[in-house]
Amino acid sequence: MTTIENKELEESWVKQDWVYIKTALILAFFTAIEVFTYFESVHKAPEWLLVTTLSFLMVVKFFLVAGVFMHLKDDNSVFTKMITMGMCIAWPVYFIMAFALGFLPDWNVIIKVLFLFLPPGVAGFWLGFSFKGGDGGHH
Amino acid sequence: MLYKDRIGPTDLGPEEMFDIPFTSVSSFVLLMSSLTVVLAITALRRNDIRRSRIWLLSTALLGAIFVGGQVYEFTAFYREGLGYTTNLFGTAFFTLTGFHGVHVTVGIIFLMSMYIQSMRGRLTSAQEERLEIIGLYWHFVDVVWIVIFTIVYLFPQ
Repeated sequence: MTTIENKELEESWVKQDWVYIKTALILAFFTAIEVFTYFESVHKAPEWLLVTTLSFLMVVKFFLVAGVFMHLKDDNSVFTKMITMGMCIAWPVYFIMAFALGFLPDWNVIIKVLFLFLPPGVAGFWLGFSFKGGDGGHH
Repeated sequence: MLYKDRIGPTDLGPEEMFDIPFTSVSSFVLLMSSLTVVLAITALRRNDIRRSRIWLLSTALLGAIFVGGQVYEFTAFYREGLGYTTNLFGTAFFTLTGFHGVHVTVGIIFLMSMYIQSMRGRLTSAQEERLEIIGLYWHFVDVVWIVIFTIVYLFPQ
């Protein structure tokens, strides 16, 4: 391997490490926002808003770790499809059970229905798009 | 997770028991351990054995701090009267976080075995895949905690 090739390889490693460090900083920032919602002043916000915000941050953090640290974004897209399909099934099952047992009693019905169908709907739309868009991976 | 608000006739529920600032620090420690484990893998990939060892040991140490925090939390809850069978919240809480703690402990054992192999010269860039698999396990433990922390600790009661 030539000196130039060595230098290029070294630079790509440093770049990769920076991607990981930046991801960790973003994760820490999102965690700080999550913890902030616990403070009394923020707790006065409507319950549905808090749960939606926390759920959104949780899903973003989940996919950041899975996508970057577990390199799902660089793997064959079939793995991403599998994990998304699992979540599309798990989310409605969890919330149908929560509604049925009366665990979310104070929410408006429209918000409940939106909360139930919106995330799997968005994920399903994205899944359909990714099927159309080819394999998306190189491993 | 659905049962975390079921405290029965006792007043030993999430509002009374949780110390969010303390658990937030634990969560931060576990998140950062995901960073150190990927740095250990990339260091090994470039055959930088010494740095790989440092990151491996850092990951195991961060994992141990997290488990130590969980042991402290469990002990504090137990002293305040919340046991495994006190109410549905206690059962759900100890089962969920206890199983997660066991997974982290198993991960620390894996990491330490990798560290020992590295010290004996049996972990080089040629065996990078071994560390890669343990790294995936560690990240999985991390994503499980992301879900537990939000739903069990932070969701409004």
